Amino acid sequence: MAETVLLNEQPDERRVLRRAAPYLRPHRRALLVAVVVGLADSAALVAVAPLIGRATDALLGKDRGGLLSAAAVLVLLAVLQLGLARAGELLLAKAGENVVRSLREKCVENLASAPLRFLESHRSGDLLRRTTGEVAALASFVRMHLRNLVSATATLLFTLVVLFGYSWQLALVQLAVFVPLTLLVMRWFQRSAPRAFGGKAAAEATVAATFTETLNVREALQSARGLPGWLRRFDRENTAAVGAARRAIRVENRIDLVGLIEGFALVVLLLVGGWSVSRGAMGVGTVVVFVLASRNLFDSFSDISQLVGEVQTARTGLARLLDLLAATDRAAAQTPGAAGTAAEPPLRGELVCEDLGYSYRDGTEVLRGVSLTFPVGDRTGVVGETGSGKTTLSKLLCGLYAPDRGVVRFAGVDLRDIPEAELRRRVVLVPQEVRMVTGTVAANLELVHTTPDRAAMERAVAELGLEDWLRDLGGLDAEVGVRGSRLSAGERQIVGLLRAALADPAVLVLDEATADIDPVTAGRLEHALDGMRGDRTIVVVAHRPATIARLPRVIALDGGRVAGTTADATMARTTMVNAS
Amino acid sequence: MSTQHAKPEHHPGTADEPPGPPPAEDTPEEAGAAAEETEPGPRDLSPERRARARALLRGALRPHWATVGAAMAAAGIRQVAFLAVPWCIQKALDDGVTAEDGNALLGWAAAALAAAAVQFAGLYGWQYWAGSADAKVGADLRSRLLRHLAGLDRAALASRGHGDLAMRAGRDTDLVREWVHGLAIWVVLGTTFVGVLTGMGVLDVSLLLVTLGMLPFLVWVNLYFPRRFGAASGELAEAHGVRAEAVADLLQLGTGLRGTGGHRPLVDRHAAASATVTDRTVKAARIEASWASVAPFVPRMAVAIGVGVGGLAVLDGRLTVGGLVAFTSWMASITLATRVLVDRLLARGQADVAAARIDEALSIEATVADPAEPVALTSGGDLELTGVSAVRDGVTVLAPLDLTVRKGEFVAVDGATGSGKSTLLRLPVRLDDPGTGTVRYGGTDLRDAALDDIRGRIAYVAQRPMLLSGTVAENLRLGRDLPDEALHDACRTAGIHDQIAAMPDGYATELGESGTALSGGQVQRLAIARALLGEPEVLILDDSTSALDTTTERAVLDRLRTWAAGRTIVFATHRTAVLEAADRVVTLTATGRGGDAGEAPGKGLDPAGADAGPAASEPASAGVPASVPTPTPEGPRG
Repeated sequence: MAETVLLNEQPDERRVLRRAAPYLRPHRRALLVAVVVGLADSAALVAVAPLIGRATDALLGKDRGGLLSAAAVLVLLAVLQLGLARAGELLLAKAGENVVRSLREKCVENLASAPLRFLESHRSGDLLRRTTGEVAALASFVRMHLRNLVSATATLLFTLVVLFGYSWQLALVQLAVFVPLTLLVMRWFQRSAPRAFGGKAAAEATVAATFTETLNVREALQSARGLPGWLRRFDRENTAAVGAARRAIRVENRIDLVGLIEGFALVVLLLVGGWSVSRGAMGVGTVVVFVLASRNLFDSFSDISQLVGEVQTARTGLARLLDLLAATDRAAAQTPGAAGTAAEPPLRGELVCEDLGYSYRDGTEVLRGVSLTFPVGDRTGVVGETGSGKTTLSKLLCGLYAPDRGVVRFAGVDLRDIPEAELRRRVVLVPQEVRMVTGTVAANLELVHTTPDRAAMERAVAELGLEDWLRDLGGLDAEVGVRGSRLSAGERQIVGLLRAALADPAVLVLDEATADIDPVTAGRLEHALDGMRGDRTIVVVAHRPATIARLPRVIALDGGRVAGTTADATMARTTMVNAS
Repeated sequence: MSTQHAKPEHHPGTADEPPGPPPAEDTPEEAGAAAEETEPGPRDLSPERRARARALLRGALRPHWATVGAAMAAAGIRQVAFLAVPWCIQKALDDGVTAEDGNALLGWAAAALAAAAVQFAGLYGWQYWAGSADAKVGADLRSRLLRHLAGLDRAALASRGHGDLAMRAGRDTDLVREWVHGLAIWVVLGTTFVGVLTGMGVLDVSLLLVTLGMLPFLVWVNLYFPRRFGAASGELAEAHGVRAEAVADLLQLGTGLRGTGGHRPLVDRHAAASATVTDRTVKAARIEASWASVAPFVPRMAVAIGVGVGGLAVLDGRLTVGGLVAFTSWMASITLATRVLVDRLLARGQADVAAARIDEALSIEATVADPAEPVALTSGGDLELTGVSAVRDGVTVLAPLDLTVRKGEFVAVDGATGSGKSTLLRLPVRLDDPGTGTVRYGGTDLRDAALDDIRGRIAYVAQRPMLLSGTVAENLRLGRDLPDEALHDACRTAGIHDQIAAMPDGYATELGESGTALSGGQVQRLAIARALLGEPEVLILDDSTSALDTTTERAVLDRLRTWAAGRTIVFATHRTAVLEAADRVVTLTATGRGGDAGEAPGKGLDPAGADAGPAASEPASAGVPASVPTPTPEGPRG
């Protein structure tokens, strides 16, 4: 069995930026301009402290002109910064949003192209959270925090330049006290942060997934009196989420130690500065500039440290997103030939499978050594006990699953080498459970690879003789309710058959596609689908004897093997009985 | 000379405001939600809804008042210590450095260090308790929402998107959490305003006037931009919701649509939604950028003017240099405090809206509910449906009909697609109540009985049974206290024990959200076993063998008949084997969608049951009990 690619609950967050680089590259020019404007803005901000220092010196020197010119420059600077700040923030937000947009669209594209097994192996709530909640969180980080990060970093650098300009000795003392201790604290924080924040995100995702699931399985729980037990499970998950949140706070609080270090650094600055002033090595003005500018230093550090939490959350989100992209890429690449030659076989052809083997995650083989041939225009039924592998076979025949062993070919070409869009023009599967979106009948009939227009829909309805049915339903513009809740299972299957007619493939596989429709209507529809095109190959998985009886050839599956092929429906039924 | 920290104000996010829970205002999406109605702003709430929302907030807070109180106390201590640090440093500069007094310098330096330590301890406590309180309030709200929604019936939730409901447990709950987290900040604000404005007045009246003159602009900035930004961010949240719904469709439906390539149009729909998100993001960012640049501009101008005016005062000897530096520093504190104040007010408004949405979800009333004084059902009566009909969204899905199922009888219900079989079968378990008519069991109207009583006696297996994430055993137990033996017995009866036992982990095998690892027929039999475990008196099966091969089906039917022994079975089906096994077959005819159902008596039941198989088709007309059991030749009880 091919190993199923799975998402990582707590994906690796190391070198996440490097892994994101391919998605940043197309936007690098816009990002660069935004950062340069942001730097100019920060420079204007840092210039304020020395200007106040100059004003102080002017006051001490009783220099009225110097004071007023310093005040005037302060006013100018404020106006200049108004423009720079706005431009910098807007440019960065735009560029960032474009990056996030390309990420989310790639994500959706990957999910749409990922092998069916990949999607079936994950809770849809988890995939949903990664592609919606975490994408939105990333977008909001870009919009709200990225700019602060840039400006805080720039402020820090410019402030250092100013401080070293005034007194490199005092600046060194300041840094020697503040930086190592702060880095130690940061390190301590970062050591535990990925687990703490990742754990919190995972715990909340679990709660959210269970919540969504509850809404879906509500009726089953109610009618089987299972609610109390289910609620106990939810409570456990909820309590775990509170615990995870508390752990995350405890880790986040480590950052606050930086405030304590700031106080300590100021005290050291005062003592050394006071000593230097008493020795006459520097003036009071220099100490004042240091006290003022060290606020810049601390604040930008504290801004950065506060943003570390946000950066951490964003990193976790980005890592989970990249994990999704990588896993879907990997899963898609597992299908050999997916990246290789894009073959385009003729529109008609024989469907052949050779020595098929397939197993799900648990390792039990559901199909073994299945070899079948479906010539052009062939009509074949597939029967067999429940669990004998009929549905799996139909998914393999349509290329929805890639076989673990063996090969499926259409017109001699391996299905895995045919691009998805081309494949659907040739082979189409109608499953038993027809999925509907909220909206009109037309919006649902559109869900075919050809995205048919209304005329095509009306033609298909007529071809299947469903005009009355559609009129009673309220026409193409009738609303079908939340995900088709207004339609019965049988009516949804009719929609499924209409989609098949619209897809108009060379090979049509019907997997219990009429099981929920009453026999009379079902027979009529099956007949109509047959009649639409003489050279269409039809494979029908069914239990209903009437459906099977109309087919010239029947294949019986038993325990994942072909138990027999008969050209006669009566014999097929015998085979079915014998097979079990 | 004296000085204090002048904090050239930076845009948002300094030490006065602890990092709260995820900034909910901008993570609009949890689980995908297209808010159908545009989200109301705080102003749009009616007084009544607002009062209810506030009551909900108070109620949510009540169990955790001690935690919130601790957070407030810690925040207060922290802020006093925080404001004391620059004061100690100013003293150290004036009395120590400038006066060149070593002892004073040491003393004030030590005091500054002590204040910094207290500041840290306070901050730690503040954040820890505030964070605990918000997490606990969030857990409480999610739990209340789940408990309420999980008990509601289909009709009550008919018009609700699951994504939208999940959003109330996600985003809306997060907004309330943010409000809870921020409660302690009020203490910080009070301390700051009282302390700083008093200090400013003592310093110099002209500087106090410059400060007070700036305040109206500050308030304007903090009110004008948030309002515009709020509107833009509301539209953005809506766009995120639409996109999330598109992703949800693709993920939850796309797998089933792949066979026809139908997931591709869904990807296109997502791309359109994604483009809208980008447009609205840029629009919101434009407003936000103006806000972020104008907000610090106001105090910066004030500082520049203050330095001019105050500097002249210094030259005239009315003010000291230390006092002037203190002014710039306090200006920063006031600016920050004003912003945080407005922020808190807005968070309060958002919490009101969020609480109103949560309250609204909690107020969805069940259409199927327990009666005030339930009547206990008696065991083993007949199941009588009299004149029951159902209308959904204006379409008659079940025309009025009568049906009596005797105790111990096996009745098959046949009928064309859309004739209302599934609708009918939901009535006796009260998953729905009929639009007209009554359902009685043992003579008691089911509306007078407790739901738990009904569901203990009448079990139901849906046409498309749902599996939960969890093991096979968990799916069978559903939290009920049942020994393994009981599970095995039920699974034997349902004809799936051997297949489960053959799985690598047996009954401990994990099933996915939709149990994809199992085939349709296996899911159906698992659901039958789940229903049997409740030891029901009546078993209702909605086409529960549709995915079984005929051999397995016959085996299951045989075992079911043996199991039944006096219990009642109602089975909707087209399958010949079931029709043959039943004591009696009733056939529903299409209700005539869009037609005037119910106008013609007898329309619901059609004598000419299509494909009814060898079993007798039992014609019945409205008002006439469809009874008279006809034993079938192969009936095990015959």
